[in-house]
Amino acid sequence: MKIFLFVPLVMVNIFNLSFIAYKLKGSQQIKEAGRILSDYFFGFHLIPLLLVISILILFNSLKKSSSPILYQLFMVFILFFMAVNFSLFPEIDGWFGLGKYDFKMKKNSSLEEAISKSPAKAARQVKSCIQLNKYLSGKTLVIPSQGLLEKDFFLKVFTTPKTTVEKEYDHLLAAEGVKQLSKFESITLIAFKKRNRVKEYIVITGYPHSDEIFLYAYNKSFVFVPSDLVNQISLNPDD
Amino acid sequence: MISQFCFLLFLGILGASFVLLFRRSLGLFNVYALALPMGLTFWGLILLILLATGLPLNIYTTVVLSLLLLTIFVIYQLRNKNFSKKDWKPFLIFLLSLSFISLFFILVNYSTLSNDSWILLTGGKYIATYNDISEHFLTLGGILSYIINSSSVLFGFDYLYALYPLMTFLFLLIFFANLYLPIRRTSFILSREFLFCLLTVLFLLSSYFMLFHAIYLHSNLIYGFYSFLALYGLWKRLICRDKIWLIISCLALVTSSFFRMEAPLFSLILILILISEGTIKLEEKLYYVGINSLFVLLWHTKLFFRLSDYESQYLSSNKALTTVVLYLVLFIVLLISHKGPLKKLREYFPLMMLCALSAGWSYLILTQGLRMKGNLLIMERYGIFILNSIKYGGWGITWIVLGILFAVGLALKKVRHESVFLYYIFSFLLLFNSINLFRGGWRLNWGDSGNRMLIHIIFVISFYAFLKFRNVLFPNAQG
Repeated sequence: MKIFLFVPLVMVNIFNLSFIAYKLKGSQQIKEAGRILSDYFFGFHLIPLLLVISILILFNSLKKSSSPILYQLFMVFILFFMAVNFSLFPEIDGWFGLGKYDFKMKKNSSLEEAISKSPAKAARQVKSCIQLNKYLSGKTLVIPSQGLLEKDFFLKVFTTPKTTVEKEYDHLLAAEGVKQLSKFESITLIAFKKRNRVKEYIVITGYPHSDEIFLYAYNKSFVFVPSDLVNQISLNPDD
Repeated sequence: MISQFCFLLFLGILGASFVLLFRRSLGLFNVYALALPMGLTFWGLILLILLATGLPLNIYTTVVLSLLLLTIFVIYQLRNKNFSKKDWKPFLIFLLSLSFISLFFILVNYSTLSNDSWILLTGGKYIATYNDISEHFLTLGGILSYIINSSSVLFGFDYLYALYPLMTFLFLLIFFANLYLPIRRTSFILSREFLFCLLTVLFLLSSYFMLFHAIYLHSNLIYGFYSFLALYGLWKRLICRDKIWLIISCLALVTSSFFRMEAPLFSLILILILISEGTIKLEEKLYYVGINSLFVLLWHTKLFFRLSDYESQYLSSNKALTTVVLYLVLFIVLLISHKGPLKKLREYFPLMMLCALSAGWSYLILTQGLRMKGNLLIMERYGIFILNSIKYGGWGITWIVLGILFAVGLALKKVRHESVFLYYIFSFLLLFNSINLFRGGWRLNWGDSGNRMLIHIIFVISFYAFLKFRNVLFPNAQG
């Protein structure tokens, strides 16, 4: 019974994979994947490590009990790959490239004022703050508009780091004379009212590379707002 | 900050009061590592029941119900004299450790988010405010992923960010402990066995995307954690013949089924593997499948009626109905699989499932795969997926190494009941590839949904691969 199920299973999946491979043959993605794999194998000398794996199999096939050499080889193997993995971390500033901001907004203060009122925090993340400020002030987006900041708010700013491909995209833009706006893929601000409920918070996501603002406020649908319209939008969630 | 800390500590105590009942079976290490995840399960299920039944969902009802549950567990402990004086010391150490780690992750907040994340945050706040959730949210994500975020409103903190790194930490602890403890020979901490297991954990941490998930506010990591726990529990039940592990597996599967929209389908894989196992009694299977089916059936029946007039490209009333039908069919299969002609076929169910999934994938490739969507042939999306997993998705070379280790692991000496892992991994990959053909928004970066979903299976694949190597390197390993 098992063989009657196993054979068609293997056959069908060989067909599936072959079909996908045939359809992707010569495509940009496959060429790129081939290039990346060849970079890994030759750039990081992975071939000797494949040799290690073969030795591991050999040891196993001999059915011998564990030996220290086998153990050491395996440990070296994992350590080596860990080093390679670390070397492939995205090159972004900060702790793992992830910025964090936590400002307490005061009544009737703009974003810039809030930053200036928390100099210690701002100083810690000054580089990224400058980017953020530049981006936001470039859009003349001031948070909040009237009525929103009746009480204290927590303002959370999340940044999503750019991946390699987005950085490459930036280089392409730079080559065409377009200024790189930010090192982040997106910047999101959430203003939470202290002890808040749904009504009192807003979310604004900016995409530096697309020049659009993604605005969300209570009870509103998600809208993409072209940057030139940002000034005309009230950020009061009750509106 | 204080309220988030209290919330996490409360979850830990709630979970500990439950898992301590099974201290002898699970071992002290697993008991305390599983405390918070189990606490989250009970908390989530209480909120889910309140939401589904329309009862008031506020801080009073949730805390009262949780305290009631906690009291029941404590009374049970006392009645069975399960908790003696000597247990206070590890319990206090657990409380101190949990407090310290929670506080650390609350103070060191590097949380990051994407649009999906704040949909989860908003949905959570919506639930806590209106005791309801709009169709818009229901069609975008798993209900538990919203529910856990609603705790922020209930407990009065801005948003729940410390849970994600905490769950990552606990997962790594469980991963390490369950690789290391069966081969521990000496109390000497820097033994070969210890270093081997430590390195496997560090290897996982060397992946940028793994670290990223620890601070990324999304359902991916928690879903991956619970689905791993469900599978691991089932495997442990088979090798230890201890039904306690089946209880843990069952609870983890229920939780994982509600964390993502497509999760009930993936849960079916594990349920079918369980049904096929001849060493598990029908009674145990009935409890396991019954509890899972009950929750999924009731919730998806509610969804079916709720979404009948709502159009969505993701979850729709038809899809909810399909889930209901699939769970009903599987329950009937379980009932008749212990008698008559199906009894002989039972052990081949997972293989049949693999055949059916492969055939389904073929059908989808031939029908959907050749269509154009946007300016991209759908088939080309597999190319994007490959590129993401080897470079652009933030994984580094993790998948290349794990792929090699997994392939070599297949050839290494067999582990008892390893077919459970293999059936799950291959079925997951087939179902995952089929579902991938339907979704939109393919991107050549970390944010691609398919790329993020790889975290759902990485725990299982890496555990299987390292388990096989561990048993070769340390032949005295027990299970």
